[in-house]
Amino acid sequence: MTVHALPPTIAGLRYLLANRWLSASEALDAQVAHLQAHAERYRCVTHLFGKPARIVEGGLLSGVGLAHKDIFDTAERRAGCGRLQGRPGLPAAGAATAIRRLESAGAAHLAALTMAEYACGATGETWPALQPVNPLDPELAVGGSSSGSAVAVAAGLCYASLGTDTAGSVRIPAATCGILGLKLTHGLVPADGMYPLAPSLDSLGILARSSPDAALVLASLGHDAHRALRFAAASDDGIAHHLLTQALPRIGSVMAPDVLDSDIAAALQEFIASLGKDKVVPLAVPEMQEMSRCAETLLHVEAAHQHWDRLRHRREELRPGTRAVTEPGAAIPALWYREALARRAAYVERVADQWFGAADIVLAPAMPLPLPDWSEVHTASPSFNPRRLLAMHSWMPFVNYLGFPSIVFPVGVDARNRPVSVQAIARPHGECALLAFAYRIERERYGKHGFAAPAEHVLVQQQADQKATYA
Amino acid sequence: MEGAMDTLSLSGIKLDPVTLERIGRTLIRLALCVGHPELPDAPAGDFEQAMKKAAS
Repeated sequence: MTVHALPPTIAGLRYLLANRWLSASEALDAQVAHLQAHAERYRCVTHLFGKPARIVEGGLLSGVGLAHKDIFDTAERRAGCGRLQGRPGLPAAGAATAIRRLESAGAAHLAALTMAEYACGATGETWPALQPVNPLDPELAVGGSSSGSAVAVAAGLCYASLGTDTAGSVRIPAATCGILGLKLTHGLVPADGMYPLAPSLDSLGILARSSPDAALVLASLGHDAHRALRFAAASDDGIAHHLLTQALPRIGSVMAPDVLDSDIAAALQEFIASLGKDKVVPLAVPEMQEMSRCAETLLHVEAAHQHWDRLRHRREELRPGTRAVTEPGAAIPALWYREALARRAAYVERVADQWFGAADIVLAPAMPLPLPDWSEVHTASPSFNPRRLLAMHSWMPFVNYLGFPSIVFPVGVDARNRPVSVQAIARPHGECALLAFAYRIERERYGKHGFAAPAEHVLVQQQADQKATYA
Repeated sequence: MEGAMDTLSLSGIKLDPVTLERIGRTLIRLALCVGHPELPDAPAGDFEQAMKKAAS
């Protein structure tokens, strides 16, 4: 019996599978055992599905274990939505479309992952038993609401994870764990089977350690806008080649150094300078505060609508974070809600005109302040600092309001050696441009194993010693 | 609450945060008693159209 480590990226795993050095079944056995062994340490799993009974061969993701935010219905289980006891019963309409598409591509859904209750929270604050541990540092807060997804991916418990992003809920946790978080264009994948928070803002998102891995998941989600990506993914290194052969994007920046912490500003300025002198066009976010307010209005009102019965009759069942998001929506005048919706198209046109005439990708901060400790942003902590909590999502909701795709990934570190991430935004359906850009940075700054090496390596036992060594 | 603060400050009324919070809670309590759970009708949305245009 020989023990090897599985490669840290899906591309590496696909190479082994394609060359028959490992079977999909062996790979999944190893990934399931690994997840079981480490789930408790990181407190990021709410339900283990284990190895699927039927293994789909020949798909883009055959033999690849994924685990997703517990907000998606599966054929056998309703989404638990971060509730302590889950939500018993079977889903009315089977698995979420996103889950079905990944499973059709061969991906195994190994586990449902922890999240802020009903996706309400800029951190993963929840019941202690479900509050995930950041693999970078246990003191470091984990962003929310797709907190378990970020932790599981950063820890190496799965290759990638689906999350949802209504006001930063994929991008914030990714930034706190030093990995990539891609918020997809609003409406790119049907939202059925995905528990809603605010449907006019909700977007699917992908968390991964490496850009090609995220691209493989995106290709498997099956939108026509990414047909070329899917086609490229059919060959072993096709995705990486496809990303590297994309035309160099024109880059704009809406960085506002005066609102950034000096450490963050320095790291982001160094990154922008590294892109080339005079290569980055300075731009602005027109009326960012107004767009953020509109997003906030939609979020509160739609969340209140979603939880109306609970708010009226069982409010005490909801966590404080859920109440903070839902309760104001009950009292927001209908006129404000209508106004926030009515202004949306004009903002999309205005921002698109101002940005995409001059740039293909627009850089913005992910977070204006350094990553906080739990003690600063946990609402029950004696040293809770609301300013730090608000800063975590201050650059996020306006992107949901516009519906544009956006990616965050690390580009440096702060004085405490914690990741500093940048946010890059593209026009609708511009996910491929974002991933291509991220991949160039990933290769230049982090090497071939992605933005972050998995904290735990998956070990696989093999019967045949003569099989290639690929640790 | 932020929205409420804006409205009140625009009207020139100055209220301390504790009072504002009490007003907010009262509004929420009343809204949950007499409010309507349906979302108000939005004006005919051209958001999808704007997104399509921005994508091209």
